[in-house]
Amino acid sequence: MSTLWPRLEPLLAKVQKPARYIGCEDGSVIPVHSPGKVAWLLLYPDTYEIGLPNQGLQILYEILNERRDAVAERSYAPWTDLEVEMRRIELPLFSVETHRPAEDFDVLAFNLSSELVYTNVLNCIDLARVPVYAADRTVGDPLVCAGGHSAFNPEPLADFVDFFVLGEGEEVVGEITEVLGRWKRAGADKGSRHDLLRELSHVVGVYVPSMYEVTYDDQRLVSILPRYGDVPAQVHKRAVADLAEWPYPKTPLVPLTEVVHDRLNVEVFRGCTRGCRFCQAGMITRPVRERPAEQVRTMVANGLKRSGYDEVSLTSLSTADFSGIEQVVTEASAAGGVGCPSVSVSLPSLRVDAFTVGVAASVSGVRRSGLTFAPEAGSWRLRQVINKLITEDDLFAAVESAFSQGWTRMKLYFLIGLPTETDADTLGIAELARKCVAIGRKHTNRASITVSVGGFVPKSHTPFQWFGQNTVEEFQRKINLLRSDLHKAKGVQLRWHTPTASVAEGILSRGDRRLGKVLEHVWRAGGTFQEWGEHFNYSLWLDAMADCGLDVEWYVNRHRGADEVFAWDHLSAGLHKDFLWDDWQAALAEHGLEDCRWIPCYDCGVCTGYGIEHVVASPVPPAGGSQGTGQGVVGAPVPVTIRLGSGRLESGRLGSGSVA
Amino acid sequence: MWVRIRWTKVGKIRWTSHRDAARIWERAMRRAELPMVYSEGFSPRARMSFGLALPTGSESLAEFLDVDLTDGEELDLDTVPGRLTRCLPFGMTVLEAAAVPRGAESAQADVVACDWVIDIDNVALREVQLAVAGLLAADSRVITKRRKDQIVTDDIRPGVESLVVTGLSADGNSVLVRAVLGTKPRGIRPGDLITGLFPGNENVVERRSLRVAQLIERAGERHTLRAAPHMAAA
Repeated sequence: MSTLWPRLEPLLAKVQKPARYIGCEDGSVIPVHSPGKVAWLLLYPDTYEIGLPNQGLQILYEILNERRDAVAERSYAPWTDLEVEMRRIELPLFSVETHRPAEDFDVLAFNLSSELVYTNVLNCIDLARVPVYAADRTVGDPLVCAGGHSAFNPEPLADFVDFFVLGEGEEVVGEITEVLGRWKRAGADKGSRHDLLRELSHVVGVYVPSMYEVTYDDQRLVSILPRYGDVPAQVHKRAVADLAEWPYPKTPLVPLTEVVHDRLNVEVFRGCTRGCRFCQAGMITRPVRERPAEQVRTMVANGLKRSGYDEVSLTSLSTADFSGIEQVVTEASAAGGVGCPSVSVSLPSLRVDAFTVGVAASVSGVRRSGLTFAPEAGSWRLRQVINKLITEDDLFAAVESAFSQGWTRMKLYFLIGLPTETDADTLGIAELARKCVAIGRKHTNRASITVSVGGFVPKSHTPFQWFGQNTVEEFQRKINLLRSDLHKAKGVQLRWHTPTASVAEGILSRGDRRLGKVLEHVWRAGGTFQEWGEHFNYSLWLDAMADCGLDVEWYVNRHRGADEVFAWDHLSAGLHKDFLWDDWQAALAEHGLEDCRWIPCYDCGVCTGYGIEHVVASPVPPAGGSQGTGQGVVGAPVPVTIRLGSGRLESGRLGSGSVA
Repeated sequence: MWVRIRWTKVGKIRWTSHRDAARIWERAMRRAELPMVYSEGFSPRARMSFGLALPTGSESLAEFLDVDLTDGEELDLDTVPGRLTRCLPFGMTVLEAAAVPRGAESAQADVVACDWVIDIDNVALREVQLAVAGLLAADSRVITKRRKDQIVTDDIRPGVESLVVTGLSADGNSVLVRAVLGTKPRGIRPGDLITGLFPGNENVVERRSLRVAQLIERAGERHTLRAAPHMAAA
């Protein structure tokens, strides 16, 4: 129960960036632990610099510390230099607020942002002196849980995590606390861990892997079925109906040392219904729920005053879609107090077709932040396949807006290895980049476009979950094609994500429980921080797969058919599997599907299934561009298949304003 | 109007770097709503100038920064320490704030030496006494250290102006020395002094170090640097 600080402090002189481990941030809380309170350790399984700004963790931190029956502290993965020292003197993982040992908490709650942090999860559990395998833990050990986007296919971690939380944590974290609190207070009469986990499985949104039986037929996954009648056959995600009820973070954490996204972050809306088919984030966070503009205004003003930041980022999956965004940005720029004459506003995730001169002018303000657009595919044909319905003209108009308002550099993100991709599509990327530079050169000699290319990894709960990922060789060939084509292009820089890292991610992205042993192998071989270029080691993954008798090609590159049982079929983000299959077929037929905020509902399943709906202040899409239709004007019909209330499937045409 | 501020860095906050401190200060100034003068141009920045950097891990009662505040405001300098301290992390406190006369030297340029209390771990009192005597008797003491990715050598002896063993630390587990270390041409850090006292012995380490004062020279005499020249005392 006592603090580990006196044993930790002498180690800090020996490591890089010791400020990672001291806490003391503005907004941090020194909670008072007591036997009656459920103690949560919120863990981001990467370095402090990456984990501190994570908004999900900060929101849950505040909500839990506001409760009378809970306390929450934070922890982050120690860097390799401190880990060596910690293991040498047997110093366990600690919280940064009170430097309390992790094993003294009731729950270790991990945020899973992406697959390559999974080995860090195992390492942190081990550093906490908790048995890495869930089956080996006893009543005295903390529970280990995990949430975040990757929790929608958590099977590779199923042997190590006691329970997962699907979707948004604001409400469910309190419900879990109540179950744990009752168990704690039962004292000697408390049931076993198994009983506790079984009870937790009744909480909507909680998935307890040990309550399910997995069967295989040789390589093929046959089923994942509940062991008991009271355990749900399908676990559904949680989503808050009204973001206005959750004005968090109220007291954002202001770091003492350098971190990524080092500015005030205010979430303006959650969810996205643009329906880009490669994008898991959009698919699993439906529907769109905007924060009222007035609340955004207050959170920006209060946040700046509290923190002393002079930069604010309005975050969401597609911020330029926010109703009245120009007004919000203009107000935010002026929201600094007496001490702060100018505030720089940045909008990450900018949709090309919503980035108008008006938005550009309001964002450019006094200090310009970086500008990134993500056309994702190099040809209109391929953009229809992936349903990112922005035309070349949309891109050029956005780039023109930016250059005309004074920007000189911007980044363009693209994916390679998308379904139906041809070399013409790949080379289309180079062509777009050259044209964008040409537009820039009309405004400035220093016009520069950085093209950043990543290998596409098919994700669960998307229409592309049936698609076989490209191999390392295919990715590399396409990168080489672009390199030679852009070799002499003035003003264009090409960057690319390591193809082997995309494949390692692909192993886990649609993996099943059998990969648990692979994770253990990679971890024991020293494979932590696999998200970091300096530590990523592809041969660890290949060796581990071979040692476990598993085939990379089968997991990553194989095309799945309609009869495939997925390792996540028993987990739901609300989307009907039929809807996803139909959208996959529409993709292959190069048909687009517009945004259901502004066209009639096509019943993907989420709103009807959960009894929630869009919360959007504007009945029309943001002005500018083709508005996600890819057409000059809304109205040209786009064929789509619609599920009617009775369950019949009908083909219809959108654009007339009614469902056929 | 340039205002010089003397501030402390004590406790856990000692593990933040000098650059971290600069960022903390920018935010604290905005939170305290002090009327700062901003630079012209596309990227207006507050005008602040920091004194000598403090090594990461060291504590201090004597850190300095100069900040340009707008003239003409009814700014009561006596309220500045309180206003700023409220906006700073625990362990950073403002002790003094005073107007800097026109043409005065920057805090960094003016300082010639620093007064340190250094707490040395893993070595007995007697050995420290012998090492100190040996160093003071020597004409030179060259140490090697890593700067960025290079190994450099440095003769620290000229920079050791005074060095006294004061006794055991409060818990009796380590040894305290009081040292005045020169800052020109290049500052000697407490860690360098320990390396110079116990060359080749990596077990002997700095447990803590505290910069008690920064020293300036006026007409051949040493004075403690304070926020206002009239506060300086020998």
